[in-house]
Amino acid sequence: MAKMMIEDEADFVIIGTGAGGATAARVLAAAGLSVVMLEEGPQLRTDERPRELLPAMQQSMRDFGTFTTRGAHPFPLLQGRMVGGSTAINSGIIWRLPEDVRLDWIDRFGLDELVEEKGLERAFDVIEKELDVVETDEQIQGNNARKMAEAARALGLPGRAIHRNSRKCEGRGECLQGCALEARQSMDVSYIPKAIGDGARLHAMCQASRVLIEGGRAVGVEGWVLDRDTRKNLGRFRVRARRAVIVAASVIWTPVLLRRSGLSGLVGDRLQLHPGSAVVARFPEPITMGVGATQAYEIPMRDRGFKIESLTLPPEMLATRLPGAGPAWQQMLTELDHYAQWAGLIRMRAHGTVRPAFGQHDADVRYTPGERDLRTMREALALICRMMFTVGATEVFPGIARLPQVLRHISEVDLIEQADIKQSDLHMMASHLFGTAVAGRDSATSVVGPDLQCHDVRDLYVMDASVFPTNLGVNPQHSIMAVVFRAAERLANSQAIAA
Amino acid sequence: MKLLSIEHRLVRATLEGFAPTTTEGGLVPLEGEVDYVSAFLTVANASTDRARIGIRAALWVVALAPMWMGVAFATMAGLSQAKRAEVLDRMLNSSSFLPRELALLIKISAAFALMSTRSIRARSGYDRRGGKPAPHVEPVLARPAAKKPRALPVLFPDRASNPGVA
Repeated sequence: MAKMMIEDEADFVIIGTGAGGATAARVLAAAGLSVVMLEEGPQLRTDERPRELLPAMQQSMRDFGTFTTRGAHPFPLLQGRMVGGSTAINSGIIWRLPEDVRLDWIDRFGLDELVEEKGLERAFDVIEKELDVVETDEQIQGNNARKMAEAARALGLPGRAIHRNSRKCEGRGECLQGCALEARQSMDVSYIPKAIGDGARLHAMCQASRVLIEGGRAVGVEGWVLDRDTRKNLGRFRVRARRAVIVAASVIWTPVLLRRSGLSGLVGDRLQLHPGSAVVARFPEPITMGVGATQAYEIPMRDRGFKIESLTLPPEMLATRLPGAGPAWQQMLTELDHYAQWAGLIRMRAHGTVRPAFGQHDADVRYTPGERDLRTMREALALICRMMFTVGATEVFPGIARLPQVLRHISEVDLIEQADIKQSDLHMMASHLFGTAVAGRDSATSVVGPDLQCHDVRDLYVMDASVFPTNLGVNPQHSIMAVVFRAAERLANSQAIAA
Repeated sequence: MKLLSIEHRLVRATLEGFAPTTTEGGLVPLEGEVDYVSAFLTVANASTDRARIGIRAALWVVALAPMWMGVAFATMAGLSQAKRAEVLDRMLNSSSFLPRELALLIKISAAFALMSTRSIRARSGYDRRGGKPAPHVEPVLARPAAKKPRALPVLFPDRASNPGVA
């Protein structure tokens, strides 16, 4: 019998400290309710986070980014695993919930109370103020983004500087390693300290294994306390919830936990992805990718089903991305300051599933992009190649198998547009995930109601992107936070009325 | 993950093949400048159990590629560095998914090993600013092994360019 290492009790127990969990904690703690936050990753002070990529990824990224979908052609699902979740490794990109998505959720899923226009706008306003959201200043955009802006102007594309939660950003390009200046207001430096200041307690390295359900009601959480270095089980923990349990463990791990806790039905269905693939190009003049904000410029093409973003790569990843091996590759490695990288992110329409897998740390994720999704990806990558040639690239590396590794003239982009591209030809990765515990008024087609409480279990709430019934087609952090902000406020108000 | 001693040698030989020390021009590591084994182990040990199995399998498939690709009846360690680079380049450019992706999996470790070596990164130009070179970083070279390495289990090795092989 493993020893019990932590026993605790609070009004609310929140599993996960990413955008959803931290926002719920911030709202509930500010309302004077007692909150315990559980996080399976470590709590890292900014000065503890290594600057070198290898140890940084080892410490803060789930399984070094090697967690993938299953099947013949797996692709990586990138997630943060530390206090702050993926907000502690992302570029802090802020997008309000697109209006067409909001109206669709009201129309098809009955979520009018949750995403009511004025209430949602107020939540966005509060979050943007608290998290220092601004448009990325031209001074810190860096040449990678400036080149993209130049291409957008030349081709008449709807480009714009990215809005980020990083007012004090100096453009060091180290978002993945954790902003040394704490300019990026990720949850570990913003809402979690605020919630703790308001009385919330945080237990890091605690991996929930199931929600305790008694008499049809969630009453607590139990799981394993993990060793910070080896992630081996050290002992058990149990936290009782006097009022409710909030699961905010991400689109992958929320349904796994719910299913391990006895829920079934649609839990884990409707997985939707907004994955990306990138193109690298060589320019005659220095781009100096390491200078400037990690992501600073974007071209939203919602009508075409994709968006394009500038994306700085650290040298380790840039070297991997350049094609080949041997002398030609070594030659490219001497000029890493001449390369730019832009990514295309696709609002895919295919649906997948998430199920628990054998083993404490594993999940079975199935996702296959549809033919239409692959055509959209092809269109995005071809456009990126054209943009790069338009602003003077001498060599473009589309990164698509069975096509030339290097394009040297804009006319060669036709090869991409005419190609029958398969999933196995692309290198995609996804960090924007949706669905798997979707919200809706009808319990036959959803897992949680408009208040984000599970239809089947009282006092069990889901507050992360799992509840999103459809793919946003944009970066989800801000929408997660605003939706959770609203739901947590309603929950806090209902507790006050009950009291 | 712990490597067998033969795997140690295969990791070194295979990863070294991406950026041979014998190339003329370009970013050429010095002998002993890059610790490929520890980068490989760091990546593998931080990965999921499934990925770790995949990385290990990739190592063997890539290390034995000279044989199944019909290049030579030898492992990667039995080829000259230049020949290893040719094999890896062919794999990375293969139209078949499996060899291409397995070689890429190994290339990730090689790139991490190279670019996390400060002296290599300094020579890569990544940190060059306004045309000025990045500050020079003196390479740290691993001490040569005290014992002569055991013979690798290869047949018909390319001895001329691989003097460590008996």
